[in-house]
Parts: sequence; C-alpha cells; structure tokens
Amino acid sequence: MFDSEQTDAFRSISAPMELKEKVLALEQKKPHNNRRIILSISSAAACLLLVAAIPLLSRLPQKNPAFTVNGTAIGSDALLLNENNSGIMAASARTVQKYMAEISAEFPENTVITVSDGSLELTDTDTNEFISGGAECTAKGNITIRWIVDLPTENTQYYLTTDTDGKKKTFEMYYESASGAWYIMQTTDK
Amino acid sequence: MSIIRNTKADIAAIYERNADTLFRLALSYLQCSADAQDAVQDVFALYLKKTKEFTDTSHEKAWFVRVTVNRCLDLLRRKKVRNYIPIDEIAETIAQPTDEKAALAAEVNEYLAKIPEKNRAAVVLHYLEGYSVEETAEMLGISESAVKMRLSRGREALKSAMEKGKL
Repeated sequence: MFDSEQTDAFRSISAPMELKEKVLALEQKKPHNNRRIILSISSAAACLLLVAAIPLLSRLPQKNPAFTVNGTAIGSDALLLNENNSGIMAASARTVQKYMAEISAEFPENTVITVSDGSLELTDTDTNEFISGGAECTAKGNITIRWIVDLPTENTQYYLTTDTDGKKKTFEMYYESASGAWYIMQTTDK
Repeated sequence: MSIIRNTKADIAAIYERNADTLFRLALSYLQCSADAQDAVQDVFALYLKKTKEFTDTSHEKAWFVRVTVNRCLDLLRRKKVRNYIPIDEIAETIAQPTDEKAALAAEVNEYLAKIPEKNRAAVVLHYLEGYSVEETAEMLGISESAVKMRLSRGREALKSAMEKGKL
C-alpha cells in the first residue's frame, strides 16, 4: 500500500506547537473547583439568599429544545423528509421493510422521548456514542434521534412525544402512499 | 485500575499521547494545517466539556480518534476542502524537514484525499499509523470485518489514484 519511505514521511508530520498552546489554554478557561471555601458573615448571607431564591429561579423560562432535520427546524408546517420511498432500510426477504427518519435535537435538560410506533436509537451527535434505544428513551444534550418504523402500505401517521420536565411537544410523522413521501411536523406544544 | 480524568496534568499527558495521530488524521481529511489544528482543538474542547473519564489509554485513544473523525466529517459537510496540501505547508509540520520528505508527505496526503471519507480513517490508522486491525476496529467503533472491508476499498481507491499519478 505505502512503502516505508512514504510511511516515515507521513509519520514525520507532527502537531504544531501553537496547537499545544491552544489546547492547554482551553484547560485554563475551564472553571476550577474551589476547594478552599472561606466563610465569612457576608458569604454565609449570600448562600442563604441563593437558597431562598432557588424556587424563584426554577420558574424562569428554560431554553426550549430544538428539533431539526438536515438543518431545517421542524415547525407546524409539514417538512418533507424524503420522497419516492428513498430512505428505506435494506431488509432481507424474511423481514419487514423499515423506514428510518433522522432528527437532530438539542435538549438542555433531561427529556423523555416516546413514540407511538416503531423504535428509537439515540446517539450523541458530537461523539456518535450510543445512548439509548427502544420505544421510550431519556436523553440530554445534542442528540441524533433515529426513528425506525415498519414500512406502511397506506397513509399512516406516527407520533413522537418529548417531555422535558413536564413540558411536552408532539410531532407527527406521516407517510403518503400515493407519492411514497414522508413528512414531519410539530402538532402540539404544551 | 487508574482512571484518566481531565485534570491539567492529564490534559497535557493526553495531548502528548494523541495529538500527532489526531493531527495527521485530521490533515488527511481536511488537507489544511490550520483546519486540522482547529478540528483537534475542537475535540479537546469537547473532551473538557464532557468531563470524560477513561479506563485506560486504549479507551482514551479510541474516543479521541472517533470524535476527531466525526468532527472532520462534520467540517467536510459544511465547507469545500481542497484535495491536496501544498508542500511548503506540509514542511512546516515536519521536524527537520527535507525537500524530499516534505514532497513525500504531501504526496501521501494527496493520495489519501482520493480515498472515500468513510474508508480513509481505517487506511490511515492501519497502514500509516501502524495499528492492528483489532486496534483500528476498537478505535473506530466498528467490527474487524468492517475494518477489513474499508481497507480493501481504500486499497482499490489508492491503487487507482497511484496509477493515474504515474501517467
């Protein structure tokens, strides 16, 4: 494949010094745990105030989860996922054909995701690590949701619901048999 | 069993263990030293953000390699990249470079750019970085048979590229 000279030349490439400086500087920016807590009357008072304010802080509006497909936000208008039956997963003659929709989501808090049909596979968008699978999953952060359903033969609706600390969103994915097209839209936001 | 945590001492040690491999891997995808540096920096930033802990250095390297590949693929989707690195740019990344060595390294990267992105990491890790098929599979999070398939397809692409280069 490559001769020894080519391999040696490739391996002689090394990460530049400025990269090391930048990476170590990242660590400097990371907030450090303060192991030495110096207590004073004013500090104790500040802690008490914070504890008292926690119930109020929890009522502040939370950042909403974001849902996108190929970079396009899913809203109340139907978003075409694909058409002409593209995106069908390969299947053997003995298994039912399946369709997979891929949705990107950002959950600032722990979120329970459930589907009316099919199953979910959740992976970390940044690291591609598997998080969870099944008809109901829980996740937080930047997530790639793969929703796999049996391929229908007629117009069919499927529902995906997310619950973030009691705040629910519902999405409807539907299949149009005449065109073989799949669409997704957000239906409710409670 | 010692756990590798992201304290300052660990970051420096993790960097020393992995940076060169990650930079070369990123360079094979992005064909630009500045972009490769950015990609590796992003990976370390993600490591710090995730407060990841590793059971050993193999686990650590696997994570960093996988995330670097994902980051590079993400960058490739967003921007058009060139399919070669200028020799003078490569020379800046080589300690005690010679014209011949820089030219060879640039040539290798140009060939790597001809390999489909899906197969490229396997080729770099196994044929150039010297990892076994088993180690490559672990780093990429795929089966050994999948690695062999990617190596086979990488060889085909490379053979075609090299034959065209000789014309």
